Amino acid sequence: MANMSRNTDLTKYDIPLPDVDERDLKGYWEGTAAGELRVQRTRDGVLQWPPRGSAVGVPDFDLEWVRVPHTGELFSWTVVGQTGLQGYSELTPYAVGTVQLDEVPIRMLGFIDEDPATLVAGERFAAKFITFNDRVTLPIWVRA
Amino acid sequence: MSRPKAVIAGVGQTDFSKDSGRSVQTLALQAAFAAIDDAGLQPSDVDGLIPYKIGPSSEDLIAGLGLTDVRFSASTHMGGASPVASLRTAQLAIESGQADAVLLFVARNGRSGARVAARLGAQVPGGAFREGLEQPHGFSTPAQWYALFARRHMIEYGTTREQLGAVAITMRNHALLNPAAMMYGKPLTMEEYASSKLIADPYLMFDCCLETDGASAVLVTRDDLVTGKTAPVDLLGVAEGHADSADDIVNRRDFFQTGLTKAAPRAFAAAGLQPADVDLALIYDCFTFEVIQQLEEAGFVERGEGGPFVEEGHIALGGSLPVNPHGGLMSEGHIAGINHIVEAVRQLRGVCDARQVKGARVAAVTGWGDLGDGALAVLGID
Repeated sequence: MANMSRNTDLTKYDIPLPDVDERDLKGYWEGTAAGELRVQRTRDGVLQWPPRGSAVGVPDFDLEWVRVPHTGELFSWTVVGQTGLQGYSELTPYAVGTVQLDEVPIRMLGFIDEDPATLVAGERFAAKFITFNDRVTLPIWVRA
Repeated sequence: MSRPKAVIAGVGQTDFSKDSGRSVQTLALQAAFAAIDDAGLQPSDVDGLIPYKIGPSSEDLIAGLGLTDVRFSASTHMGGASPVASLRTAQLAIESGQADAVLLFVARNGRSGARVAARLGAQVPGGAFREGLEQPHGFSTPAQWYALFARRHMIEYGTTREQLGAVAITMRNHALLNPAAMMYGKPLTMEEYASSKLIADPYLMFDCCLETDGASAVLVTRDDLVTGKTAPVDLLGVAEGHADSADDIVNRRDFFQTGLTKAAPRAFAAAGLQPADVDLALIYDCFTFEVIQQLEEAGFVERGEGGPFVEEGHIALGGSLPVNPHGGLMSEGHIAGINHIVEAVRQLRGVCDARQVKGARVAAVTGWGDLGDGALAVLGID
């Protein structure tokens, strides 16, 4: 079936993993480990992504991490035919792209685990959480 | 005493190749000596230097040119938009009396030495986002970043593969008229274009710029230092700009907005001109779609009209807005776009033989860098 996820087991490839202790992204990685997508919320209730060192344009450093929907619509993507990135060089051609999340003005980028030739703008997608070890969980995108 | 005025007095360039066989310092010096000689000046006249962020430094050129009293140096960190933005830095230094003759230069063994992937880590902003949010998903190159723009433009405006191909083939056709171009003597058909290998869809191999060994230099001086050896070129208006969310493409609300969107109106206003007054444009053609995007964002055409505009032949020599008569980054060579400034100067001087835009008096040069930093220079000749 054309619409079946490829079910790529990314944990079998030696892909570059994130530094989950990176200070600005720590709250995000704690979220993915818990099976959630989280973004910063400012004191004024503004959601911001990617995270920044303060509320944008406001001297508010009291930022908290809150859950956002992990479903949305495919906004744009590329199909990678050639890459020097370890692990991914064995997976070409593969798709990676951006999903406009439901309800919030935020897009997130991720590996798209579907047949690259079948992608259509606006399709429904959902995050799928891939656990690499007890600290690193990567959210990739599959058709909802 | 009246304020000094800055002009482009000289340009210089090495040969472009896949393997220069010499150091980047040697390449930089060859281009620098050539630019100084082109202006009819001596190395000792140079008292200001603007190096590119990656490559030979001011110190390398001070030593190699034997300069004894450089009193101004600066560097612009806007990736491929840096050379165009640096024209304004040079202009500001000269017009404020901080320097009399400022040399901009870029030198790289971009093919035989450190290639684009190796240079990125030292150059691109938002490193934590690149390493944490992008590379773990297999997303790591400019071709991939900008492919998101191209794909979205196809979705919103119906831009086509054939329109991207029209850019690649136009650049190649121009290079066939430029003996100094890396792709001189190598024609490209639409069939060869469309069957070239996949890099980052919609980008195929022939949607991408070249990687080049070589150097270019541009000498900006006070206008009263002009010797008459070559015609000086006026800096009518130069401006830079930065996209909103400058450190991250993915969440840009206006997805096609770039630094150029803001820089272009500033530069044209400073020049007292409109995009329609331009005789030729040098567009930073890192990839085919970025030519279409910049034609739109600089105001040459409306958003969504760039694809049909290139397909109808407007950007070819003989068209309504010839773009990159030298063949551009895609077919002449990629020296971070400073070679676009060199070509604009030569076109305005009228010395470009078979590829000359007849009667060119006004040229626009764009720069595009990193995640969409932009710059535009309007150049003119009396």
